Amino acid sequence: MNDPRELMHGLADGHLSPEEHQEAMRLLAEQPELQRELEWARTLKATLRTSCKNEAQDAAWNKCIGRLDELDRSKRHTSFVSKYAWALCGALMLIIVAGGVANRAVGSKTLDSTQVASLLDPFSANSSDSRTAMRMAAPDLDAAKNLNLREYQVTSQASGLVDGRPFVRLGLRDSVGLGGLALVLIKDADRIAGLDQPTGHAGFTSGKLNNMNCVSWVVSGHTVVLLGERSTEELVQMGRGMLSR
Amino acid sequence: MLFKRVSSHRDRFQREAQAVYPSVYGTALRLTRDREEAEDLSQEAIVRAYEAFDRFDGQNFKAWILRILTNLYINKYRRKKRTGTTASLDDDENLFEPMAPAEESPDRVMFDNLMGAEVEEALSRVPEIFRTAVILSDIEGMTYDEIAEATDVPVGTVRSRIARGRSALRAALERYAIEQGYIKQGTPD
Repeated sequence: MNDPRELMHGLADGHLSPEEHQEAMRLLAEQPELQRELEWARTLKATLRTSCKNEAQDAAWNKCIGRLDELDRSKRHTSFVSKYAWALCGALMLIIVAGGVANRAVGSKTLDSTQVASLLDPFSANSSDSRTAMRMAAPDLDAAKNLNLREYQVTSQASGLVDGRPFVRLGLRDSVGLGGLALVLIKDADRIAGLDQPTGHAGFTSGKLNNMNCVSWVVSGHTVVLLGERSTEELVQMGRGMLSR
Repeated sequence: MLFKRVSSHRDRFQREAQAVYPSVYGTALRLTRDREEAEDLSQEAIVRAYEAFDRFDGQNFKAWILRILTNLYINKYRRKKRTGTTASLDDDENLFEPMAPAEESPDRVMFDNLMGAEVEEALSRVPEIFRTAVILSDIEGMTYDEIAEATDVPVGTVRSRIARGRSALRAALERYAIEQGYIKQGTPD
C-alpha cells in the first residue's frame, strides 16, 4: 500500500511503475486535494532546478588537479620500483661484489694494523738461536734470513698466515737481557694501515700496537714490524742494527 | 609505455571529472553547508574516483562520482553520529508537514521571485537525509534508482525521503516568505 502523498511526488518525478501510475491517477480522481500536493511537488522541483545553480570552482578544481598529480607521481615511483626491483637488487649486489673485489685488488699489499695486532698473542716459551728459529718458522721468508739478529735471543716463535700471507713472529730479548720485544715479518705486504706515521728516519714508519710503540720498514716486498716497551727512537736504532750485516 | 598508459588514463578521467566538478562541489557544499569541508569532501571524492576509474562502467560518470561523494559524506556523517554530535533524523515523523489545505496552492509568483541564495538557505534547513535525496533528485537530476544506489537504501525509501524533504523545504520557504513579508501567516497571498 503506497502513501498517496509519496505517490504524488513520484508522479511529479516520473518515477512510478505502470501499476503505481495507475493507482496515482485513481487517487487523484478520488481525492482532489492530492492535486495540490502534486502541484507543490512540481513547483518545488522547478524552483530548485532554476534557483540552485552549480558554479565553476576553478581554485578548488586546481587543488584537485594537484592531488591527482601527487597520486600519479607516487604511482609512477611505486610502479617503477616494483617493476625493476629485481634489477635494482641485482645492480646493488653487483656493486657490493665489485667493490669488494676492487678493494681487495687495490689493497692487495696493504694490511690493517688490527690484523697485525692479532698476531701478538702470547708467545710460546720456546727459546733457541735466532737463525734456527727463522729457518724453522719460515724457510721461505728470504728477507728474514738477511736480518742481523745476532744481538738478540729468541724467546718464542710462531708462524702462519695472515690475510693469506705467510708471517713469522719472534719474541726477542736484547743483549742487555731485557725482553718485551717482538719482531713480525709478513711476506707480500708493503704497507700496514695505521702504522705509517713518519719517524724522521728514512725507510721507517711508526705507530702503536697493543699500546706499545712499534716501527716498521720494508725489505724486498716484506714488511717488518718491531715493537716493544721502548721509545720509537730506540726501536728505530734496533731496526737499523738488524739491517746492517 | 607505462607513462603513456597512465597519461591517457589520467586525461580521460580529468576530462570527465572537470565537466561534472561544479556538480560535485555544489553537492558537497549543500550537504556540508561549509565551504572548507565542501572543498575537502569534493577533493576526496575526485581522488577516490580516480583511484577507482578502472572500475567505472562507462555509463553515467556524474551519477557514479556523486555516488562516491555521497558515500563518503554518509560515512563521515555516521561517524559523527556515533560520537553523538548529530541527532538521528530518519524517524522524525513530525518533519512531515500536514497535507496542504485544498485552498492552499503554491504561489508561483512568489517562488519565481525567490533568489537562489534564499532557496539555498531554505534547503540548508532541511534535515540531512531528506536534503540529500532532494539535492540528488531535483538539482542533480539523478533517477530514484541512482539515488537508491548512492545512498544505499531501497527505491521506496528514496521516494519517501524526497516527499518528506520537499515538504520540509516548502515549510522552510513559507517561513522565510512570512518573515520577509511576502505572504501573511495562514493566508497565502
